[in-house]
Amino acid sequence: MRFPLGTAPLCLLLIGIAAGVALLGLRALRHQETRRYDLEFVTFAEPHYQDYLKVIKRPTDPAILANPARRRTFEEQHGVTVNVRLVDGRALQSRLQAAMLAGTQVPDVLEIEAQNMGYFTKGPLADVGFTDLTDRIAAEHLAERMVATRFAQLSSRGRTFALPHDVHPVTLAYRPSRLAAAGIRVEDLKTWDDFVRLGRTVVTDTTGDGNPDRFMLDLPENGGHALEILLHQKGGGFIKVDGSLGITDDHAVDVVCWLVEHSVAGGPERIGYPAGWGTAMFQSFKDGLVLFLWCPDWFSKWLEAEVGGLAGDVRMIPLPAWTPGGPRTSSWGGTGICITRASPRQDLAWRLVEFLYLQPEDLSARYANTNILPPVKAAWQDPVFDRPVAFWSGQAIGRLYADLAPETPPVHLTTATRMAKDSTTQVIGSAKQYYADRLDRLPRRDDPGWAAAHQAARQDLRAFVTEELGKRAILIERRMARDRLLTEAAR
Amino acid sequence: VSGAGTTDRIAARRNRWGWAFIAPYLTLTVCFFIYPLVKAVVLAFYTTNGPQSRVFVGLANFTWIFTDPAFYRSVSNTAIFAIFSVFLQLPLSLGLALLLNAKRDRLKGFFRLALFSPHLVGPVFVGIMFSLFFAPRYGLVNQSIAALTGGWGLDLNWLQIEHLVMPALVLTSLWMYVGFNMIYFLAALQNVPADLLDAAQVDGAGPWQRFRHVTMPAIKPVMVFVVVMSTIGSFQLFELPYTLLQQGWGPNESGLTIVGYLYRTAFADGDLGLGAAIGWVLTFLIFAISLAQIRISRVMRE
Repeated sequence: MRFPLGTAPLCLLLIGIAAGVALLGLRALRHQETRRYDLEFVTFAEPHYQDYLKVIKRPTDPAILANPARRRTFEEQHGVTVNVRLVDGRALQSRLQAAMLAGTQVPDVLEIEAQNMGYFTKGPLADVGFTDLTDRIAAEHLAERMVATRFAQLSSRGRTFALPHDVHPVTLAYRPSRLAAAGIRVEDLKTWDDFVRLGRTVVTDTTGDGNPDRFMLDLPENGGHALEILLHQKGGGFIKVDGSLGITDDHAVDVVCWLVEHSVAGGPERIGYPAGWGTAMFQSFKDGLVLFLWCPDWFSKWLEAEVGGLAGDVRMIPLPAWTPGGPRTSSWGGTGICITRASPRQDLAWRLVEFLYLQPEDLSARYANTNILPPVKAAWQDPVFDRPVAFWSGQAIGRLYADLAPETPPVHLTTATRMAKDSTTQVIGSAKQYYADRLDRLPRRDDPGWAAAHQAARQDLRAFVTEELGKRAILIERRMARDRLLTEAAR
Repeated sequence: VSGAGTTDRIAARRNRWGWAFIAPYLTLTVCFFIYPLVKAVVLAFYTTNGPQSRVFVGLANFTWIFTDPAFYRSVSNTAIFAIFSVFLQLPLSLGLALLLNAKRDRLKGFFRLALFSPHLVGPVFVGIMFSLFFAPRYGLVNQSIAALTGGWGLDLNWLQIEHLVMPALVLTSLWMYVGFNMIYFLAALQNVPADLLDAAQVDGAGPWQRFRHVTMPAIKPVMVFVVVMSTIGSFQLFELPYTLLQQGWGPNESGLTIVGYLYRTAFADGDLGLGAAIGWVLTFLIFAISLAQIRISRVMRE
């Protein structure tokens, strides 16, 4: 029998049917695959993934299985199967966004970068795609057992949607040999005023080529990470605890002025150099172009890997305080673990969360691999935190981070955080231009009127920064009002 | 009558088969093109963060866009980039194509590949690579400037100083796209009738006159195509600044493009309704500019 429309249409039809069947078959296979596991768990960090595999999955190696002293894995303890997957951070964020918008399948448990939480907790609380863990956290007294401030960036309007993975206290890394050559004693660096006073003596053109080639501190061009570290250390923030905007507060103005005055625009007050990121930053540190780098716990491991040749000539100190006796640290970054509301196994998912994040012995082992300080205070009793580290010239950096951890400031995040941060960096950019022009008009340094004129320029800078931040705040508040529309409509 | 009836039945059966064959295409088009298009029109009149909650805001999204300084910043950045694309990139591409077209040696293929290859690696790779080239003090660009000027420019922070971001972006895009556009021009140049060029030469026309009066008119359709496509491409610029500026948009949004503005609004800030409205504004903008370019080229031809 011949196909009435000819051979070519028949081939097309057959290809179409075959493709359709193949698609349906693949879909069914994938469905079966996901149904094979009791829980789906996704993380974006390779070191976390490797550690989690060891403690979650049932071992297959007979040698391991034969060891009676070994701790049983999560799968063994609960008699379940967990699919542990590693997904790139950006991909995880966008896939999760898409899946939650479309209402398609999402993992039961996942780790997420705290900076992305604002997006997922936007709008009415009932719309948030993560399970509200507030009651479980209260029932288990986790706010007392963990560093309480670390819940802030995982919460919205008093409800908490994730457990913190880390503390990320920030210190300053330095090379003792370079500091000795510059005549700086770290014991003298108690406050930022001390740091600036001594830092001014450091900025030098050591090679005589007309370019200063030694600076005290890495200060990114328009604030960058230094802005948020310093702002949070000072007790401020882009967003306040009640969700309102914090960029017009005195703390923000102080930090912006500080960054401008000590950047390239600051003339004689300059102590900072924008060391960049990655290779360029590490080279700056090796060459002594910058004497101090910002060093949160996660960064310390990266530094060990990138400048391993400096082992024994690197140490760290707590951040200088803004005021004597004030906090000596801040925080930079963070990760949390969430349960999706769509998960049909909420209790099992919570058990996995507890298993991964709350067992002190696992946490200390994980610290040993990553230098990342866990927020569970009981874990810090482990001797691993007191272990001297050869790279860090024998310093027990774990103990230093643990000692600083209770001082880490809370960070509040919403979708407006990005706008607030961008706006503040924009103000830093324009303030630098303004201040540089203003300093150009000062009399010569040896002029008796210089000090008064310099003070007046600083006051003008403050007025300029206050006004500019105020202007930007109006725009951001308009945008925040749009977000509130959704929340109010849901009431 | 019965003959006509049979013919109608055959035609009807053929029609049914025709519909059956285009049904998959139609289904996909309706599902993945028409439906999202209609949905995007509707979405542009709402503020929403997903299917659960949305509030009708009428024209407020459009009003917001036209009162948002970031929108004007993104339009001006994109326009500046587009202008450089057309007025720097295209003459360079044409120049290289002319050089390659004139040279008749074995290295021609090598140069063609060498000039085209930056396009093969994609904007993400190029963006990351150039972010290293533009690094202050240690980057290739500043090292070269300092070597040429005796030390000046070593600390130029191309990607963090507002006025340097656009030049950095343009330089990067030149490296990436000049070779790509050159291929179009080369193909057009190879189709210029040799007898016309020979006739012009016999009539005493010099190289410039031959180019002006023979080559240019012959390659004009390709030129219009390249100008329109480059402009549209410039208005859709996203990955290059996004990766070059390390997932930011530069100081004072100096590298923010319209698509970047759309992405940031919809997917970083989660304002999908506003994102849809920006998408429509971008569509009309590209449509208007393309139309104007085609009109201008038609007037010039006439």
